[in-house]
Amino acid sequence: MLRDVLRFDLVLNAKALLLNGLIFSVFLVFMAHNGEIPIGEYAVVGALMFSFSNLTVLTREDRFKTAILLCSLPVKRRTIVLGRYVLAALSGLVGIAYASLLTLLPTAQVLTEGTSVLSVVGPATVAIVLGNSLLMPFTIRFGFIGVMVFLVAGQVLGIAVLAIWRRVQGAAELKDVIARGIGSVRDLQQSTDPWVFGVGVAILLLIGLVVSCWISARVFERKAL
Amino acid sequence: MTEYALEISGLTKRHRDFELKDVSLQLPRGFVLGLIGPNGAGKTTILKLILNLIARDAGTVRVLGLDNLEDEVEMKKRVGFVFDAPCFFGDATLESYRRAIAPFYPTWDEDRFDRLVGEFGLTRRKKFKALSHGMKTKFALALALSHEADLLILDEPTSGLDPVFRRELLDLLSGVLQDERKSVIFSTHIVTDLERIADYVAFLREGRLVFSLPQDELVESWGVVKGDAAIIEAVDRSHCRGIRRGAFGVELLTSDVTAARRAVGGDAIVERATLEDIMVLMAGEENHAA
Repeated sequence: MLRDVLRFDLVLNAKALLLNGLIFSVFLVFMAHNGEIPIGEYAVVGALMFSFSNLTVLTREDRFKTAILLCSLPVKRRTIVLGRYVLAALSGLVGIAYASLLTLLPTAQVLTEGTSVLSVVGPATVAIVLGNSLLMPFTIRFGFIGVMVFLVAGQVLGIAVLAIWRRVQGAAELKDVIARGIGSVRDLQQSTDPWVFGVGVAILLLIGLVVSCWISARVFERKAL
Repeated sequence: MTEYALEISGLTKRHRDFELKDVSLQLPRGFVLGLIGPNGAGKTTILKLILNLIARDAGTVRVLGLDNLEDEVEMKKRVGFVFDAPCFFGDATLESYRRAIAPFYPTWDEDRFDRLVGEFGLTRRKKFKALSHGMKTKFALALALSHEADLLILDEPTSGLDPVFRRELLDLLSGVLQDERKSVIFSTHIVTDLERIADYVAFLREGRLVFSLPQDELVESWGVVKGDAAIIEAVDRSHCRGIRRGAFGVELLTSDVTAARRAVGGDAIVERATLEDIMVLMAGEENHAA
């Protein structure tokens, strides 16, 4: 059934997805030639851009109201939701692979020296999982408007936190707190076995992903079509 | 024991400005049920509730003996649907739809789809948005008929179609119904369509099911009495289902045309009620329906 959902999305959105891919490709080629950039960061950008292709599927579904068609087919709504997560993961992996291939261009200014496969794939995978875990429930519930709501709400929330913090504690201390937080994570990474740290991060991401998937499924099951 | 294509019991759905309340009806297998009622009566809501497109607040729905929530996937494998509102990507071709939808149905019959596409004059390479309204309906019907569905759910399939297309569509449906196991639920405003094919008629008004009866019974027993107000008073009101007062007299809908004939004698016109009479008179302000 999951395969059928993926096929449905890919076949009926093929042109839109290819157009997206083309635009992202041009952007990545431009980025590779626009000053030096470490391959890890480059792969993160590629992975995120491609993995958000599922937003194209969801916004087109909103525009054409095709959720009615898909949900009338013999498939559970939670399988449809799972399909969208899998599509995001697969397109993200395509993004990593494509970005890595572009670094082979002789004219590319992507810095690849001294990097391992893990240092490229790791951060990009974290970005795919984190980005989609946060964004998907909003998009599934509200469509394209959901993406906007997410971005605007994030900014408003950030401004509100800053304003409250300034009033209560003073601006400098917030920076300190953030710096201390990042520092603590770095300390933890350095003082822990790399594998243990990696597995810990993976477990946390996995929990976040499962929770996001569960919320999306619940939201989609309750959505009136 | 009667096998039912559809058994709805106590179905309730509350919206902010509308409530479908306690609807119960049954459709035996091999028959056609016509859902009629004015706009906003709840016809589409019932069809969406059957397909789980909206969540119900109370009640149960069994389709072909399967619970529509617990056995959702199995149930949907045996149901074909055609919606009034467009729910297709305009820029996708008919062939892409076949490739996208066929794998969901283990019983998909490629030859049948081919035959239907040919019969309907459709071209696989054409984009959905390039089709006329009638052709879009035909394509949706071709998809619905290509997986051996035992129950067809058609939401206003003839609305917006010209009479030639409508007749063609109804002939097609009659063809489908040659298979006595297949059942159809058909919602429409165009009640003359139902007179051609419906075995049962369910009338909805303001979210309530007013009646669900065999069409034969409606044709045999229901009638319209037309005459002066004074004559109409003579008709037994226990069978009165609706009254409409106009400039030229009164029309009364009765569920016992024989008794009405006896009561008014030759002083008023008594005619068999058409579905349109029933819909118009029952949807009127002064109705006496239970």
